[in-house]
Amino acid sequence: MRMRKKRHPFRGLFFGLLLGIGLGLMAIIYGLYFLGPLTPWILVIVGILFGLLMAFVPRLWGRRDPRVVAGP
Amino acid sequence: MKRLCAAGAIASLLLMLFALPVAAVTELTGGCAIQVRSLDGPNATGNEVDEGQAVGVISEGAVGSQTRPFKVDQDGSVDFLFNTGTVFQNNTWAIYAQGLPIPILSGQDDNPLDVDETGVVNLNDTVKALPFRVVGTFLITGDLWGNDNASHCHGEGYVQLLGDPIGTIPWIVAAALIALSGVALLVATPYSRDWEVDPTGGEGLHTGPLDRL
Repeated sequence: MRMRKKRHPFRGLFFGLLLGIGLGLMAIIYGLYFLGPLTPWILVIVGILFGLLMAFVPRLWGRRDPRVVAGP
Repeated sequence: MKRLCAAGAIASLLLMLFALPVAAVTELTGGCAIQVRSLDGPNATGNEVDEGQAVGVISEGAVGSQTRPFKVDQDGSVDFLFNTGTVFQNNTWAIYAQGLPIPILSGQDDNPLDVDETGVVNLNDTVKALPFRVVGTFLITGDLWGNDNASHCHGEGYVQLLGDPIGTIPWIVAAALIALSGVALLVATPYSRDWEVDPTGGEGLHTGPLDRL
């Protein structure tokens, strides 16, 4: 037995893309072009990057303490 | 080290993104000029909603700029006068939204008689053609080519479709995407630590198992 980290980069990519699309749509709806005309597209990219970044963040719940040795 | 490289790459990308110009240039180039007035009724009737004109670079704060988009009513119309300066023979034109490569409107005129073009655009007809109500501020760009592509006018500016966005389908979709993906990113994306069965498990002594066991 050995301890390993289960990462989910594809989940991060997918949900980050969805987040970016949502933010981009909101930017268009409310006219928030704070980064110029490419703002909606930039938000999509930022969402993807954020999603990928979340794959490197540890889950704060439901994790087993690796120091605890499993019983026989 | 891997984490450092990944963090460095992401930080570099973010820095590059935020280093992009904050305010883009809205303009109408090529010697062309436009005057527009939007009204809240069809066929240029009703009360005036907004008006403006554009020649050359549109300064920030002027009608059509990022901070002051040209306002139009969903049920209204836009009265416009477009001047090309010189006759654009065999011209083609196209209007795009949000930088997407597919034009929302396009056309051509093989033998224009003069340099002026006037007209009234009923927004109600256009809006009704959409499957759902749309509210928001859009970057509209347009190009006019003529005289065997020797003459070219390019324009871009911001247009705001007035209305309450809350409850429209795009707003609901955007809110749902943000909420659902936000929860998914917090719950399903972070890595978890788990015990893994050693793939090389079951190994024994090179000389075979002990006889007593």
